Amino acid sequence: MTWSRHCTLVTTATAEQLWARWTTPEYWPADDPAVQWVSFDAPVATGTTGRVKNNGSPAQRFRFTDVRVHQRMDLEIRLPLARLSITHALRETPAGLALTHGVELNGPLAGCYGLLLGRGLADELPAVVRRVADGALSL
Amino acid sequence: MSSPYDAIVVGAGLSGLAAARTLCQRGLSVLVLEAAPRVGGRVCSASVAGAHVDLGGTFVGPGQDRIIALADELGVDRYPTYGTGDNAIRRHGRTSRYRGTIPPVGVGNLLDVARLQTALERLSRRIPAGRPWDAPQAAALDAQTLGSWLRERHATAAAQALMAIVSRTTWGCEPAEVSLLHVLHYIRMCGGMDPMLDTEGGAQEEHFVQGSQEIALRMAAELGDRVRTGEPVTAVERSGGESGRGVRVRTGQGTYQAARLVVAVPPALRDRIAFTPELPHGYRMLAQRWTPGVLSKAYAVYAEPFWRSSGLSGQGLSDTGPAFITFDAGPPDSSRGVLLGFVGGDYARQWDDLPPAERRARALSSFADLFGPQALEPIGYTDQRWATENWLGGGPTAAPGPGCVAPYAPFLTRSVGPVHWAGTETADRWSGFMDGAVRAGERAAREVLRGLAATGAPAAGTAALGASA
Ligand SMILES: Cc1cc2nc3c(=O)[nH]c(=O)nc-3n(C[C@H](O)[C@H](O)[C@H](O)COP(=O)(O)OP(=O)(O)OC[C@H]3O[C@@H](n4cnc5c(N)ncnc54)[C@H](O)[C@@H]3O)c2cc1C
Repeated sequence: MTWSRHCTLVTTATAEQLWARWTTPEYWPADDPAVQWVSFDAPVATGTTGRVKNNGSPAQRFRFTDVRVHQRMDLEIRLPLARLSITHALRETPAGLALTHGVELNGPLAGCYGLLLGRGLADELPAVVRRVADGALSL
Repeated sequence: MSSPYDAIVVGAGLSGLAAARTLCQRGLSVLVLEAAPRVGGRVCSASVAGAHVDLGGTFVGPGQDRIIALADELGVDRYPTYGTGDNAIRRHGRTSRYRGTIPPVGVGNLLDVARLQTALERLSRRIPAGRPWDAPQAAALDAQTLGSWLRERHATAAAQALMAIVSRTTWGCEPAEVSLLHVLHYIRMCGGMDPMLDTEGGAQEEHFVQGSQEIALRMAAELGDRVRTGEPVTAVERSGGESGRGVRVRTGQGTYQAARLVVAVPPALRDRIAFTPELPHGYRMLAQRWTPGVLSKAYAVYAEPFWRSSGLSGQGLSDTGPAFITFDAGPPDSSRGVLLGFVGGDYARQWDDLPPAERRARALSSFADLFGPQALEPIGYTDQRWATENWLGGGPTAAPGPGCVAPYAPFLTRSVGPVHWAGTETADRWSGFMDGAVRAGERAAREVLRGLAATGAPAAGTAALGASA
């Protein structure tokens, strides 16, 4: 079972600026106030692991599952009977770069987690995407 | 002091022009002084890729009799807002379709919205139109904001989100910023929430073929050289004190005298005029506390209204922003597709600061969320940030916060000797709308006529004596 929500913002920020925003741990708490800190065990690449601490919950391990420079950066957190993926993608459009962040839940309890956890994360996506674009423009 | 003009009007928005027109029709000598290089104030039209767009006030509806009558007199035509097909809503990261004014937010939420609307309308009926301070428990209602009232009523998150859309569109602010007493009074002056919010049968029912600014332009053309643009009024001396024996009005270009003055600027802008002797304290407080909302508009023009062929009306709501509510504002002959997006409240505070290209990208992004990727390929685009307008400060209207209505609203309209007040915020019906602007201007003109009659001041034919620079 899959539960997913996405948010897209078209921006004039460049792929380099947005990539820098995604891959610099110091920017994460600024772009998503729910994040207290994040650390990567190695430079961002498919297979690299890291830890993220959200406000009010213990630090969680994650793994980058699909990393393509200036295009895509997905990571996955394992939950009991579900996998939470946080996706980041860039796509050219006639109006600028489409910056898409997503929340995807897979596994037998995806529907349950969607209601409990996913909705809240999805509601924050527009503000997070906007901050990432704002931050990228300021680099 | 001699009074070469019977009346001077400050501000050539719809209200000031309506006041001046009424006075001229009665044979009075009038001078209109406008700060901006154009007339119209919060109504302003533009042409984008061959399509006409209204950057400020746009829609009119049933009950807005004064603006409609004025437009009819001036030969400015109306046409219905396009509303055929499904509306679109973007919520919790998903886009869906619905019909009617209230989106599909679930039965529980719909019942909650209905409960809140009923409560607001019931409370609003207790507020005397034009005299909110006289309402029972006015101070207590004024001590709350729309946001605090919604929380106190345990409104669901969806109902709060819908009310936020209402607040951003109507007052250009978040529900937590606007006085509940003001909200109730506003609803009262519109005759209920449906007339205020609906497209069909409501205030968004029609718009003007030649644009709303055309009404101002045609009034200004009738008034001819009685209207001076690019001439901000900086100071007003009341020569006769409270008894009212005329005014001396200063601008950068000169000094003018008149028996009566109509100030038809937004309340906050009154503070940019230095009055001698100083106005009573309450007027100053009003100007400082009745600040305008923050509402901007984005227009994208397309070769054709592509959404219509997918059965969409072009009306949409989004919790993603920056455009949180959209309309199809295309011309009556459908020769172009025009999407209008409102960006208001917190969304506007962020979006207004972005560089022009980024504002465009993000507004188009909102349109694409609702109507698909074709929205990213317009043939023309423009936007208007009203909060950046030096002589207006924002829009669509003043958004007084808690504690600012009961004590200060009386100073909106109370004249001070020869000084009378107009502007949409001073209306007792459809305040905040173009209709309210016209009503207020006409009311101020009647006050001037009564005042002149009472003081036996000269009334007519002295315009040529004009300025003494
Ligand atoms: C984005 C937006 C959307 C809107 N949508 C609608 C709508 O769909 N329907 C509707 O009915 N209404 C709408 N409105 C509201 C409507 O436009 C206003 O209510 C109306 O135009 C106000 O007219 P007014 O004459 O009272 O004031 P204004 O238009 O504000 O005119 C005041 C004038 O005074 C001038 N001025 C200020 N200070 C001085 C000074 N010191 N000396 C000389 N001149 C001065 C200003 O430059 C201005 O021209 C909208 C407004 C906005 C901004």
